Amino acid sequence: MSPAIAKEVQFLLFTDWDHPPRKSAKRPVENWPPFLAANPRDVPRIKDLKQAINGRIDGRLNGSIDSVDRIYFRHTNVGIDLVGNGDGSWDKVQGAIVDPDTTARSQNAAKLSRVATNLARQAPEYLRLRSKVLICLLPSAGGASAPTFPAAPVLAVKSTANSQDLMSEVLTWLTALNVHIDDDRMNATKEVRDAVEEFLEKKLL
Amino acid sequence: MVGALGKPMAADELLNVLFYVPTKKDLLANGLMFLCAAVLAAVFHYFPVDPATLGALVRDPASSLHQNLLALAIGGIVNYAIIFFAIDKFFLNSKESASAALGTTVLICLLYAVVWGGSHLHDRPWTMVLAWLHARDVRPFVVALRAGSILACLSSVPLKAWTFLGNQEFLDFSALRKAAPEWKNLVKKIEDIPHTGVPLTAAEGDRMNALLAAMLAALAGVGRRQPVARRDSPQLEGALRNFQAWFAHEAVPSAANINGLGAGIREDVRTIRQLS
Repeated sequence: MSPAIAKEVQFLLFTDWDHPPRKSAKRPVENWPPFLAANPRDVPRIKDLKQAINGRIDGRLNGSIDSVDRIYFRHTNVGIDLVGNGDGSWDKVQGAIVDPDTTARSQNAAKLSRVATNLARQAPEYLRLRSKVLICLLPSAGGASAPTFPAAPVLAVKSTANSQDLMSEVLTWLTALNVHIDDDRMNATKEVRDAVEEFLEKKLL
Repeated sequence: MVGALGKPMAADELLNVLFYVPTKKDLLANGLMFLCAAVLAAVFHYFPVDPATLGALVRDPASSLHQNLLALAIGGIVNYAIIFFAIDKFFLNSKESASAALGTTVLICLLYAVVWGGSHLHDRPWTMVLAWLHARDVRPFVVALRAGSILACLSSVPLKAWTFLGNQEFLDFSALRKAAPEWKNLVKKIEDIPHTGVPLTAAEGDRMNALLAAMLAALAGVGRRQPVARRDSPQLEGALRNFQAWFAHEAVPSAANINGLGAGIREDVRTIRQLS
């Protein structure tokens, strides 16, 4: 039997990095170094950051939340190709990492707008009650202006200057989410308990 | 002997490798019908399909050994096809049903050949059989087998058409069997994504969910199961549930997010491919 799949929040990687400019093969987006273009010394790839975030989550929650109940971080396997015409279960996506230079290219601004609108509209009740959809904005290497997002209280847009900033924002947000969920499953009203169970069972697959 | 997943097989599972295992009710019904047919043939020289009207098809004294063997082969193949398609839906995959149909076909042809032979050897049949064996004369046996195989398929067709509805107690895996090839095609596409770069469409993602639901519903159905199907069903169901959970986990926000089969799910995919 396969091991149980851990509960994870899913972050969209809004980048076209997996589409190399010339006719070479597509690159796995997990190897994307989100800050390398803006700072050649900031080399960690997104998969390295994922590993570091999940390692630190274990360190922070050790002793307070059982490992089987912890919620970890993951990112999509595909970049902006995933957006398409905006269809999809965006209620199962809890965040995004957005590259402004990608947004500035082609018709990607419209794609980002669709994604942000869907994330805000489809955000699960529990996320509205206790947390937010986290959008981490990367620095621009090409001088692109910061993209605009719909005015929605459920969206929390954070600018991150480097890998440490990104990890810090995600860790703070994810730790708080873990703590809220653990506490609410035991102590909240029935309405909130139902919302948290629905969030765990149907949104964090 | 070990089964597909490497576990030792029980006696009924071993029997099921070569034979369809009927319920006691079916065995009784078929046994009684066969007994009646045997008595009719032996005592009254009556066959469900009259050999006289079939002329040379059942028995032709002028046929050479090769012609008898050819007729026997044709009868065997037709019998095999009838039995295979009758029992196929009670097994998880065609390998298992094909194997069970083989032994069942041989057994039925032999039984009909014995009845036919008995009806044609009125006096001291064993003495004659022993004499043929002593003289190493295979021709009478081939003639009997030819007649048996032809009579078996000619009698099973009217039985099927007129009265016998077949087994009503065994679980029918038709839905699983229909879904499995399409599931395999979609999994092959997922497996090839790292090479082709062609992701699943939203429609294919929906289709995969529908296929998984249909396959699991078929496995959860009520009814008796052939021993090999009973043995393999839990493994297949477990692997399908793991795959369903993996697919739901990966297809977020849509099926386009899937970029191949992860290492953690390959074993389950292998199990499903092997058992369905």
